[in-house]
Amino acid sequence: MASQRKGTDRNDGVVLDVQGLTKVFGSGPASVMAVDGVHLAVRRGEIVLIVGPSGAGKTTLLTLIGGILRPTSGSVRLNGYDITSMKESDLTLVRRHLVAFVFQTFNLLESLSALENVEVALNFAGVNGREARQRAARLLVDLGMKDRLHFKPHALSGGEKQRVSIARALANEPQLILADEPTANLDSKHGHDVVVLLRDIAKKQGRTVVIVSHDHRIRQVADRILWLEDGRFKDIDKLGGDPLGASPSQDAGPAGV
Amino acid sequence: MGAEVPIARRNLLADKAKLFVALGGVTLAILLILVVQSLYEGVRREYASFVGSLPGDVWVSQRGITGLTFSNSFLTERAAADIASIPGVRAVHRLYGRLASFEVDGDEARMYVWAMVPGGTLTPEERSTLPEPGTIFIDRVLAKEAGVSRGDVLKYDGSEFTVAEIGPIGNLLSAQFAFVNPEDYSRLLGNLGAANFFLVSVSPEAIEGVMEEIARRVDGSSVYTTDQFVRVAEQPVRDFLPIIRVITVISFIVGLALLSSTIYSATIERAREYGIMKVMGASPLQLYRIVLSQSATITLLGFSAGVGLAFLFNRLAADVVPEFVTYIRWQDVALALGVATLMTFVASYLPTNRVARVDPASVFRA
Repeated sequence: MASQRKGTDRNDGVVLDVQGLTKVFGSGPASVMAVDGVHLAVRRGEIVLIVGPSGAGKTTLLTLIGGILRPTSGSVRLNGYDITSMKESDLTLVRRHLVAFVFQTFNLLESLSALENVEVALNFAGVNGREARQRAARLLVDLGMKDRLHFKPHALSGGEKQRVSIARALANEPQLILADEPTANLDSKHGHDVVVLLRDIAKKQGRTVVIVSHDHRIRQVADRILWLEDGRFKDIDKLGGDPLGASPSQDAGPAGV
Repeated sequence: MGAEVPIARRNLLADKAKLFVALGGVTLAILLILVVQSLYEGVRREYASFVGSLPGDVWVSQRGITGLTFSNSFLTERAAADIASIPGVRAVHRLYGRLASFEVDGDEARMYVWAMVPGGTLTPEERSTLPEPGTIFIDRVLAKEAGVSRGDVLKYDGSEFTVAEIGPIGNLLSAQFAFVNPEDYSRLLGNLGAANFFLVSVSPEAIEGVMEEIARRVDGSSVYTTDQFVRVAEQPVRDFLPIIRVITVISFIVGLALLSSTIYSATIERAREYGIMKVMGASPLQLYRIVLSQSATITLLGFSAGVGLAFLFNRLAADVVPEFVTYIRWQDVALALGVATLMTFVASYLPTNRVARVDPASVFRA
C-alpha cells in the first residue's frame, strides 16, 4: 500500500485493533447509532465470534472493520495500518490483500465457474493467466472441490458454494477473514464442514478470523465470544438469562469474552 | 489478460436475445453508413472517370454551370477558333451532350448521349474511344439493365445504332452515358454549332498561362483543369452530402440506442455483482473495463459484420439494380470504425456512472 501512513509494528501479534468505533446512519432525530464506541483487539490466528440480537450492529461492525463503510468516529487498524482515514484507492488495496469476506449468501459471480470465481480474485490483484488458474485450482482442490472446478454456482450445493467462497477469500492470502453468518444457509453436515474449515484457516494458516453467527457450533472453535447489543459490546456474564442459548446436546459453558 | 474480458463476455452471453438485438443494431448502423457512403462514392467516381477518360488538359464551359449534365453550357465555334490561336494550345476538342431515349427491343432506354469532335490529331488510343458512324458505345450498367450485348441494335428516330463497345462510360443513376459519332449526333440529336464544352490540349508548361488567356478572350466562360472540372461535374452528387450526413447520424443514433440499452440493462441487472467485485478489491478502473469490454465486444462484432454485409449487399444490389454502382474506400471503413468506437464509449458512459455508484455495503443486505 503506497500510503504515507506507515503500519505500526506491534510485537503483541495484534492484527486487528479497533478503538472507539462509532457509526451513525442518518442525521438529526432520524439518526441511528448502529455501532457505539466499540473497542476490539484480535491477535493473529485468533477466532472471535460476535453474537447478539438482530439489529445489534454486527454486520455493520464487520463492514467497518473491512473498510466497506467509513466510521463516524474511531479507528480501525489492520496490521498497523489505519484504514479509517485511507483514500478509496488504498482501501481497494486493503480489500484485495489484507481482508477478505465470507458471506451468508455466498455472493459468487453466477456467470463464472467455481474455478473462475476464485481466479477473478487473483486477477483483480494482478495475478493473471496460468499462475492465477493454477493457484485457484490448488485452493479449490485443497477444499475438496477437485471434481467441481468447472461447475457454475447454480450447479453447486450450498456447502460447495461456501467452499468456493472461502477459496476466493483465501486467494490473495489475507491476514483477516470476516465471515458474516457463513453457515446460515447450509445444512448440518455442510455447516459443520465450514466450521472446521474456518478453524483450520485460523489455527493452521495463522489467519485471524472474525465471525458473526448464531451457529452454536462456531462457539466451540471460537477463542472468544463477544456479545453485541445496541451497537456495543456487553459483558455476557452480566446479561440476564442465557443469551447464548445452549444447544440441547452441548454445554454452552462460559464464553471467552 | 485480466478478469475484465471473461466477465464481460460471460455477462453478454447470459442474455443472448439482448446481445443479438444490440449486435443487430450496430451491424445495421455500420451497414447503412457504408452502403450510403459507397453509393455516393460510386456515383461520384462515375463522373470523375468519365471526365478523366476524355482527351484534353483544360475544360472550358459557359460560366455558372453547376454540373456536367443538368445545366446548359453553350460555346461558339468562334470561341473555339479563338482558343486554338493561343500559343501553347495543341487542340480544341468540342464536346456535345444531351438526354435521349433510345428504343431497345421495343422498350425505352434513357441515356445521356455524348459526341466529341476532335480539334486536332488524336493519339491512336484517343481515337479508339470514338465510335464509328452508325455505332454506339454504351455504359455497362445500361447494357445490364436493358439486356444489351455487343452487336445488338438500338434505334433512335428511325435510325439504327449497333452496340460496338460496352464499358464504364458513366452512370447517373437516372440515366447512363453513351457515345455516338459526331455525324450521327449532328444528324439526329442536335446541331454542332454550339458545343457544350471545350476540351483543350495544352503543353504542360503553358497550362496556367493558357487558362488565363482563355478566360480573358472568351466572355462569360469558366476555365478549369481536368481535376477542377471533376469537382464541378460532381457537384450534383455532392449536393446529396447533407442527406448522407443525416443518414449517418440517424444510423449512429439507432445503433447507439440499441447498444446502450443492452449495456445499461446488463449493468443494472448485475449491480450486485459489481458490489461483490468491489468488496473483493476490484478497482473502479477494472470495473469500468468490464463495462467497456462488453460494449467494445458488441461494436467490434457489429462493425465486422456490418463491413462484411456491406460488401455482400453492394454486390447483390448491383445484380438486381445495375444502377447501384458503389465503391467502398478505406476512408469509409475508417469512418465506420470511428462511429463504432464512438458508440462504444458513449454507450458505456451511463453504465460506468452506475457502477461507480454501486455501494459495496449493499452486498451485505439480503
